[in-house]
Formats: sequence, structure tokens, C-alpha cells
Amino acid sequence: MLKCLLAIPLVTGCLCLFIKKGRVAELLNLLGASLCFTISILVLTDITKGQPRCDFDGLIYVDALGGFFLFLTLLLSLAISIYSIGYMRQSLNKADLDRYLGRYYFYLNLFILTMILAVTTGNLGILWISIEATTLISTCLVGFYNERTSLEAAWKYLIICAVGITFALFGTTLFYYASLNIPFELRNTLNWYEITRFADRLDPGLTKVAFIFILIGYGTKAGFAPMHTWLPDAHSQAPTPVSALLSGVLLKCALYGILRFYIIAGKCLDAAYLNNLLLTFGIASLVIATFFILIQKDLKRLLAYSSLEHMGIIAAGIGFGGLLGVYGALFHVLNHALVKSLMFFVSGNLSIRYHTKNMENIKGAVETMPLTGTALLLGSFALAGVPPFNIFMSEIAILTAGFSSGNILASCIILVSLVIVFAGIVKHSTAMAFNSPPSGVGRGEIDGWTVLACSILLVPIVILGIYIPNFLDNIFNQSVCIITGEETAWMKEGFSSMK
Amino acid sequence: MGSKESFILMNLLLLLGTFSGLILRGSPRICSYVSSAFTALAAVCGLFLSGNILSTGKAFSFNLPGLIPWVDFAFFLDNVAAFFLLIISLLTLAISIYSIGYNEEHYHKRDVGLLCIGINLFILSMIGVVTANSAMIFLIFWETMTLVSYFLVVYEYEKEESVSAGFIYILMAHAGTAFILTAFLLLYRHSGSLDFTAFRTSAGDLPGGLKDLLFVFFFIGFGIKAGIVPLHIWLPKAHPAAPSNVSALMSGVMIKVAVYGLIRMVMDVLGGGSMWWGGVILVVASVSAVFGILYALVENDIKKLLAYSSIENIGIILMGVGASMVFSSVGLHGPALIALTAGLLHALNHALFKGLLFLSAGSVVYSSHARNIEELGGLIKKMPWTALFFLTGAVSICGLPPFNGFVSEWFTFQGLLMGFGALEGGSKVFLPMVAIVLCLSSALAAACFVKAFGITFLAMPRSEHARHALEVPLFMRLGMGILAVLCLLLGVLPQYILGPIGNVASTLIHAEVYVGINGVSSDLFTLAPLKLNLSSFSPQGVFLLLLTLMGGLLLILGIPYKKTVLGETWGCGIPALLPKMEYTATAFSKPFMIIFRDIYDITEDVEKIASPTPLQPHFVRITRYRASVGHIFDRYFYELILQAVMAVSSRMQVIQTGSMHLYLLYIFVTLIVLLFWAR
Amino acid sequence: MLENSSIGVYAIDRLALGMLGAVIIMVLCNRLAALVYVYAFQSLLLAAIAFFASSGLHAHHLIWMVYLIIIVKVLGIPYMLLRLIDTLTIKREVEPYVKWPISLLAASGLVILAYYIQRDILELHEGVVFNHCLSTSLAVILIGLFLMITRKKAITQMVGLLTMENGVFLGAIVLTSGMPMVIELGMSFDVLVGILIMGVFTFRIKETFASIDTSKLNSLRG
Repeated sequence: MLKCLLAIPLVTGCLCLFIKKGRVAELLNLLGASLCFTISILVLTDITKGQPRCDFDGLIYVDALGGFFLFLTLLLSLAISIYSIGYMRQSLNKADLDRYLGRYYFYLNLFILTMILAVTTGNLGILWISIEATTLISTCLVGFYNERTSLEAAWKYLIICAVGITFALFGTTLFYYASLNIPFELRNTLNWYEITRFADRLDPGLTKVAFIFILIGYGTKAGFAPMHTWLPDAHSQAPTPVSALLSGVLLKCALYGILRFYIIAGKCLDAAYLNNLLLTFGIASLVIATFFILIQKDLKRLLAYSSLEHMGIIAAGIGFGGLLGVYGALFHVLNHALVKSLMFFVSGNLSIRYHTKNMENIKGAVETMPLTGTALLLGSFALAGVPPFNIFMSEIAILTAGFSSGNILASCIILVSLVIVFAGIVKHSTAMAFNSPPSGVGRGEIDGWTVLACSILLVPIVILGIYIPNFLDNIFNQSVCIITGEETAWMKEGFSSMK
Repeated sequence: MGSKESFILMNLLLLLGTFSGLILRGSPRICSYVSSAFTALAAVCGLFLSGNILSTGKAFSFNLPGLIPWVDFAFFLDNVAAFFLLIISLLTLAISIYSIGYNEEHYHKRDVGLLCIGINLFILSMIGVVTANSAMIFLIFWETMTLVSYFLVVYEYEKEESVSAGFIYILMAHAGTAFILTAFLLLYRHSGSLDFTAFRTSAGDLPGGLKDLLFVFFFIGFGIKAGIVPLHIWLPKAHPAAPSNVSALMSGVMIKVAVYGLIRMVMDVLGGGSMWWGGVILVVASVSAVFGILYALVENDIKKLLAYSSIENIGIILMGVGASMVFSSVGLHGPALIALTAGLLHALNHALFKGLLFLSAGSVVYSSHARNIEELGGLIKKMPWTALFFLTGAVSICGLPPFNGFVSEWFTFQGLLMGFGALEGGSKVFLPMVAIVLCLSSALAAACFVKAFGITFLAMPRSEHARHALEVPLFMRLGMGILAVLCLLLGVLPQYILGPIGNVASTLIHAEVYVGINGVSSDLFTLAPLKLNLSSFSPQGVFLLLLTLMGGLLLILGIPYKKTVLGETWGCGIPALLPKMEYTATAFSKPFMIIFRDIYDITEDVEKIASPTPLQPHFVRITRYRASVGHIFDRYFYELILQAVMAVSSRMQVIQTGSMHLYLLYIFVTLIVLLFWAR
Repeated sequence: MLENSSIGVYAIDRLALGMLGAVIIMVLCNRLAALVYVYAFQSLLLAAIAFFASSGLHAHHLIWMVYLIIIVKVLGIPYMLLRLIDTLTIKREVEPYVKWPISLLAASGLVILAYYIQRDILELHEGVVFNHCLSTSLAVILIGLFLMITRKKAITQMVGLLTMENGVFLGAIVLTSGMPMVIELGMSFDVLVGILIMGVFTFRIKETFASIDTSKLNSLRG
């Protein structure tokens, strides 16, 4: 099954490139995405029952944590495939539509493939290769429109992430070197599940420096401040479905890379040291994003900075540590991916209807496009962390972890930032949703597919705000155990003492 | 039907109301009737439930199975919660009936379904807040309440005024929530649980400093929602912007829910504290009362006027609460009980008469489509019922017997004045000083509502709107009528509610001994705090006296026997009286503007337009006078914060200059710093 | 791991210092073409290091690394870069932000920093690492990044990035005697594709902005 997961996007992508019919490419892509999503669910249910799955001599190795990120990737890519059908047609030049669509779906599938590889591989080297490959392919997507600004964004994205990723390579090398000092038969392997077993015997000094390089390297990709500078550019210039993918999945994949090393380093280093590093990056990202959100004019840049903010919250959640902090962070990964994709979809619809990304010129969305307008309102309130939506729950979990772990100052900074971010997002989004629309703007939704994609995302956003299904809870619990390194600490017991 | 069943049924009915609003959106009339019917039934359930708990004193708790691992969906209804549930239910009943008529205005113009959904969810979330027994669930309902009421405020979304009012509202409310959340999490850190019961047991051994901090956070957090000065800025903007039935809910009920949060957390969970807590509350309450009514006095928008008056009344409620905290901090449970009872009673009363006033103001707007009272006038002839109801509300809010406002304000006075006898040192004088402030604000309130009623309903119509106003439909009159009758009933027979409220108060101040309120059991016709001989009055006696006086007067003047002769009003020889000869609202409040000039921050503008003919440049033909009242808190506090944040934000933009060399430098520097940190 | 005493170790140590020297020459380079030539030379040194490492350790798969490095880094990429310079640029100067004396000073500072990190932060001494290898590779990486920060043209940024990668490869070859084969191949492939994509984008930037000066790419702010 894992082989299928890698094969399907590859085959679909190549077919899309060669079939010169846009409609066929769209449907093919949708088919592939739904197949992959189905497989990911099967894989996930399999994993949560017991053993991790492995393939290709252990180069592919999926445990609950990897399975969760795989699920996230494929859930989002399904939603994005649906949205792309409606959106790309409208946003592309009509003349050469079929060719562009073919190319777009080719890149999109390869992009998804590299992300699948990143979260399913059991090898730190392949992890690096696939994350580097995500940069390369998504660069092509960021520069897809080939305009001045998109070229600029693509170049910056490419160079900055390449620098970051080079550091990550160095960090990986150092980790490998450290693991070679372990006098055991696991020489010449970069498989993290094997290194993890003997991780307590790594040289601490080396591991420390190696983790710093990894954190800077993958942190650049994950959008931690101050390495985040490519993020608003790339997110705002990419085609909107790709922005959603970048923000919802790619950042998380890089985070997944950090987590893998965090798990290893956590066994031989002081946990407080690692947590403080993550917490520092988290708070820095959050605070910087806060001020940029407040006076932002471009809708997609606003969302990009909001991604920065949420990555900061996730990093802080892991940094706070403890069952609740990590649980909250993982939950937040899912929540943010859902809500941010929704918001990007909405922004795409709005920018096509109003022919602008400048928020000052978008008004009265609930009147011109009732469904998109509603999604805009609900999505932005969810994004701003208002109950009964899902982000509130995970933010609360993270804040609770922060207070109970004694990081009062950090938690208060997060709280203040959240209020300011709330002001920024709500101010902008309500101004767009309400008031009377400018004259000359057409009425009605763009396309049924875009509405479908929005509604698919809205359902879990609302449900997860008041209810976490058992199977998700299960995955989170197992992932938390993997991250915190505790063997059998079942969350239920942990929480029952809290109530 | 037991408590649990009625609790579930009540919530289910509200959910049904929501869903019927959703499903029947297509046909507004059916939607409005069905949904409002569900709301009304839920209110009846709520009345039954709260009555049951208040009369028997049996608390009940209810748990939903764990939906989210770290959140306990625990509900708990003791008599405190039940009392506030009573307030919610009473208002809900009246408003749901009123809404059936009121919604007609929106048929085929706006989405009535959304209004129905919003109102049901709003009520549901308020019930959730007062019944929650765990911090998380409290917060979820608290924020949902904010969010839903926000959507109701921006119901008329195409108006920029509504949108900006809504934004200020939700931002302030969210900031308040942040304070409450911080306080909860600090408590959680200490008690290791998010349950209120655990909070309560661990509150005893909290360090003093932390406890004070918690009080401050709770006071700010709930104070924002209650609309205390200077955190009130959202209230006069948001309450009027909403549809009138929602305004009534917000002003009548939602700010009481905030009061509930405050007293639940500070008095019950934290178990009271130092004397300065009460002192702070009293100071803020006094400021709120005076400022609220002063701003109300110069306001010409009828709904804004009522909103400002809500700030005043929150002040009065908090006077009772604050005085009670002062007393209980030194162990004087008797006076504490009286003061808190006064505060709670005023909360109930204010809900009733402010609800009534907003509904009748809503009726005025419904018929005349004008909110500025300068454009109204003479409505008493067109809308006699509405006028009567408004008058009832106005008399109640001014604290005149035999209506309910008098009882609670009188009790508040008694509570405050008892401080003179009971306390030592500075507070001996302080509490009576607050009583003086209460006197002032009551007097100003009287002036304010003379203006509101007089300019709106008396004299002649000043605009086409007012001239064509018609009496509102039956359902609206019915809704208002319920509240008007309740205002009178609670004014004449307050004993029946004072007993249960006394119980509520004694639960809150953890008084071991029940200090009964005299008159409840011993003497039906006299109402007096603690001692009969000190100061007492008989509401029934006053009522009978008034009735007798009125009847006697009518008899003496012989009005029943005289034949009514209709004639022109004498206009000093001028052939016809014109509306522009009338006393205007601005003119009415002008003396107050002059007296309180420093507070109002007035900008006046007198424009004299000379005669157009060149020969008479010195003969003024037209004089225009405009005066606008500034808001000192906006100007000297919020504006400054806003500017500071904005300035910092624009400074921060230099981070993202677009130079990728700089971006690479960031990575470089970060790496070096971290490598050094690693040592 | 290599034995500390063999001739291979000595050679590797000196060659690594040679790479450091090459990168410092890159800092001083004033012309684009010269920069590329120095890069090719540095890659050649890297290939030699891989060669010695493969013979010294019996890590025979490293011999494939040698071929790979010679084909990709010594010949392929420099050729492509020179073609790019030929077709794209009118001015062939490097156009630095800082003058060469300061650059030199900064570069030597970075070398000291790299040594400092090895000795004092990692507290690794002889016996654990070769004398110079870890610090040299770190220094090459840091100076490579320094080149990217202080040079304006897109091509210099590419060269800087490639230099950083050389530093990482140096570390990988010497410290770990090469990663597993599959991974080495994958990495080289990634690097190659990366450079190709960068080349394509350089063309597009030239077309659109009429220049490959990356300091002009500054319209996206805030």
C-alpha cells in the first residue's frame, strides 16, 4: 500500500503532463488524490492498531506520527485538488489553458509526492532529499504565473530555503557522525527508528550543534522567524491552491523533520534545552507575525503571516512540553492546516471576483458571494481562535500546558499576541465580508467546485471545536508518546487527573 | 418533571429553535413563528427550572460524556445560577413573544432565519455560561455568547456604523476573555484542575498576591462585558446597532451574565478577599453610575440613551456588590447580605425595565423608522400602548414607587448607609459617600428619562416619520406588557422574591447563618433591612397610598363627572402651533452640558448666516447650533493605545524590506547566536 | 573511520585546508568567471579528498563519489555557469556590497569562529575529529553564506550556495566517510536539479527585470 502511495502521484502527474486535455487532467488528479487519501486512511487505521508499517528495506517507515502527517497531507491535497478544478481555470490565461493546466497538475502531483515521501520515509537522508525536493518543485509552482512579483518570490524562496536546507544537510551529517560513534551494528544507516533506539549514547556536544543546524535548516522551511522572510512572498505569489498547500502542509512537513530530530536529540540532551530553543523560535515567530498582521493590506500576505503566527504557536506548544502541550501542538497542526486552507480558498474566490488582493477594495462579500462570505467569516473567526471552532481548543490546550509548565511569561506573551492578531484578522475580514460591495462587482459564486472545497473543510473545523473523534484521539495519543518518548503514557489517564 | 429533564428540554428547545430557523429560512413568517415559539417554550422551561431550584434550594449537576479529552462538559445549577437563569428566562419569554411581531419588519428584506438562529444561540450560550461548572466550558460558552451577539450586532451588515461598532465590541470582549482565561489558567496551575469546585477548594490557600491579581483580572475581564467605565466604550455603540429585541437581550441580560461571572468568581470561587477589592468595585461603580447617566442625558439617539443608562445601572448593581464585599471582608455578614441582595435585586429589576425600555424603543423605531428623538414627538397619541409601557419602564428606572426600581435602589441605599454604623475608619465615610453618588445618579436619571419620554411621546410630531407612526402589532404589545406588569408586581410585592434572593446572596458570601430579611416572613406589609425600627417602608402601603391619593384627587377635581371639551392649545395669539416651537432634546440637556462642561469635552459650533441681500449684512437670518459630546476615555486612553500599537507595527515593517541579502543575513546571525547559546 | 596515522589522513587534512584557501580566494575574486573557475578548483580538491578517503578507509563506494563530483561539480556546473555568464551578463564584475579588505577580514573572522566552535563549543579534539576537517567544512559553509549575503548578482548567489554545499560534502566525506550510496546519489541529484532550476529562473529574471542583480528584487515588502 505504501508503494501505491508513492506511485499514484507519480503516475498521475506524468499522465497530466502528457494528456493535453485540461478537463481530463483535472479529473485524473482528483481521482488520484481521492485514491491516495483512501489509502492513507487504511494505512492509518492499520498503524494505530499496533505495529508501524515499513517497506523498501526500511527506507519507508510509517509510525503513528508519520501516519498523522501523511493523513494531513493527503486530506489537504484532496481538498486542494477539488479546489484547483474550480480555481485554476478562472485564474489562468484562457488561450493556452490545457497546456498550463497539464503542467500545473504535473508539478502539483510531484509536490505532493515529495511531501508524502518526506513524512513516510524512515531515513534521515531521504527525509532531507525529499524536503529539498519539495523546495525545488514548489519553486516552479510559486513562479507559475511568471510575472515580476512571482519570479521575485520564487527566487527568494528558492535561495533562502536552499541555504536553510544546506544547514539541515550539515546537521544531518553531524547526526550521522554522532551515530557512528556508537559501537554497534547500526553503522552506515541513517534510519531514524534505529538511531532513536540508541540515541542516549550520542555525543551530547555534537548532538547539540547538530540540532541547532537542523533547527535553523528545517526551521527556515517551517517558517520560524527570523528565517521566515520567504514565506509571505511565496505564499502570496503562488497560485492560491498551492498557497494553501504550502501553508497547510509544507510547513508542517518541515516541522515533521524537526520533530524527528527532536525525538532523537531529546534522548541524549536535556529536554529543557531543546524546549527552550523551540519556545524561543515560537515566540519570535508569533510576535513578529502579530505586528505584520495588524497593518497588512494584501489578503494573501495576511494569511501567510498568520501561518507564521500559527507555526509559532505550534513550536511553543512543543516547547512547553508535557502531554497536553504536545497533544495541543499536533492538534493545532491539523486545525491550522484545515482553517488556513479554507481561508486561502476563500481568498482565491474573493480575488477572482474582485480582481484584487488588496483588502481595502474587497467589501460586502456576504452579499456578492453568500457562501464564500460566510466561509470567510467563520474561517477568520476560527483562525482568530474563537470557540466553538477547532483552533480555540488547541490553543487552549497549548496555553494550559504553558501555564502548568511554569512558562507564565511566554504564555502571557502568546495571549497578548493572540488578542492583537484577533484584532487584525477580524478587522480585515469583517470589513471584507460586510459593508456594501463596490459597484461593478458581479454577483454569485465562481464555481461549484470551489464552494464544495470550502464546505468540505468547514465541516471538520466546526466539529473539531467541540468533539475529537476517537480515532483522531488515538493517533494523537500515540504520536505524543512517540514525541515525548514515553512508552505507555496513555493520555486518558493524564487528562483524568486534570479534570 | 425533574430539574435534569427540564434542563435538557430547555436546551433542546433552544436547539430546535435554532434548527427551525435554519431550515425554514425560506419562508420568513413561518420561520419567525415557529422559532420564536420554541424560544418561548424554552423560556417557560427555564422559568420552571429556576423556580424549582430557587424555591427548594436543591442544586443539581449534569455532565456530558467526554467529547474532548481535556475538557469536562460539566454543568451545575445552584441557586445563584438559577437566579440568573430566572433573569434570562423572564426576558427570553417576553422577547420571544415580542419578536414574532417585530420580525415582520424584516420579512423579505433581510434574512429573518438568521435573526432567529442568532437569538436562540445567544440565549443558549448565556444559559451555558451561568450553568457551566468548568473553566473551559465556561469559556466556550462565554466566547460563543460574544460571537453570536457580535453577529446580531452586525445584523444590518451593510451599514458601516454597525460593522465598526461590532468590531469594537468583539475586540473589547475578546480582550476581556483573555483576562478571564489568564485568571483561569493561573487558578488551574494552582489547583491542577479546571473545575470550579476544585478552584473553590484550592482558593483558600492561594498566596495573597496571586489572589489579588486574580481579582483584578476577573474584574477587568468581566467588567469589560458588564460595561463598567472606562471599559464601556463598546456598549453604547454595540447595543443600539443590534435589532431592538437583541438590544433588549444584550442590555437586559448579557451584562447581567457578566455580573454573574464576576460574583461567581470573586465572591464564590475566590471566597472574597481584602477590603480594597470591595473599595475598588465601589469606586468603579460610582464612576460608572455618574458617567453613564451623564452621557445618557445628552444623548439624542433613543437606543444609545438607553445603552448609556445601562452603564449607570451596572454601576448601581456593582455598588451593592462592592458594599457587600467590603462588609464581608470584615465579617459583617448581615450588612453584606443586605447589600448583595440589593445588588442582585437591582440586576433582576434592571433586566426587566431595561428590557421593557428597549422593547418599547424598538417599537418606536419599528413604527417611525427614526432613532433620533428630535425627529419624534407626539407619539402618545399614535401609539398609546407603547407610550404607556415606555412610561412604566421610565418610572421604574428612575426609582420611583410603586415600581420595582425604587425597591432595589432603596435597598442599595440602606446597604451603603449601614456602612456608617458598622464600619471603622475611612470606610465609615466612604460608603455613605457612594450613597451620595447614587443619589446624584438617580436624580440625573430622572432628568434623563423625563427628556426621553417627554421629547419622544409628548407634544407634536416633529417629522413625517413621527406623523405617520402607527401602534405596533399585538405580539409586540404583549411582550412589552409582560415586562411592564412584572415591573409593577416586583415593585408592589417584592417580598416574594426577596427571600430566594436572600438565599442566593447567602450562598455567595458563604454566610454560615442565614440572616433573614425582616418582613419576608414576619410582616407582610413592611420591608426593612435587619431592624424594623431603623428604617423601613411598606411597598404595599405606598402603592395603596398612591392609589388612594390618585383616586381622591380625581374625585376632588371631579374629573369623572366632567364632560371633556376639546379645543386648540392656546398659543399666545399665534394662529397655529408648529412643531418647531417645541422644546428640543438638545435644549433640554443644555443646562446639564453647561454644568458638567468639563466632563463632556464639548465641541460647539454656532453658525450665523446673514441675510443674502447685500444691504443687510448684519441681520442674521439663520442661526445653527451644533454641539457634539466627546468621550474623554476614547480620546485619552484608547486612542493612545491604538496609536502606540500602530506605530510599533509600522516600525516593525523594516524587517521585511524586500532585500534578500538582508534575509540571508538574518539566517546567518541566528545561526551564530544559537551556536554561542549552545555553549 | 580513518586511522589517524595514515598518509591519507595527512593528505585529506591538507586538501581540506586547500579548500579553505580556495574559498578565501573566492572572497577576493572580482570577476564572475574567475569565481566559477575557483569553484571548479575547489570541487576538484573535494574530489581528491573523496579519493583519499575511499582508499584510506576501504570505503569503496566513495570512489563513485569522486566520479560524481568530477562530472557534476568540476565540469557540469561550472560549464553551465560560464554559459550563463556568457549569455546573460553585460557587466562581468561581482558587484559586492562590501569591499574586498572588509570581506577578507570577515572571512578570516569566520574561520576563527569555525575553529572556536569546534574547540570550545563542541569540545572535540584530536582523536575524535581530524585536526581541521570539521572546522574547515564549517568555515567553508559560513564563508559561502557570507558570499551570498554580500554579493548582488544571482550567479554569485548560486556559487555561494554551491560553495556551502561543498563545505557540507567535505564534512560528510571526511567525518562519516560518506553517507549511504542511495542518499549520496539522491543528494547529488537534488543539487543538480536545484542548480538547473536556478539557472532557468536566472534566465527568466533576466528576461523580466533586464538584469540579474538580485538587489533589484525588492518589490515585495511588509
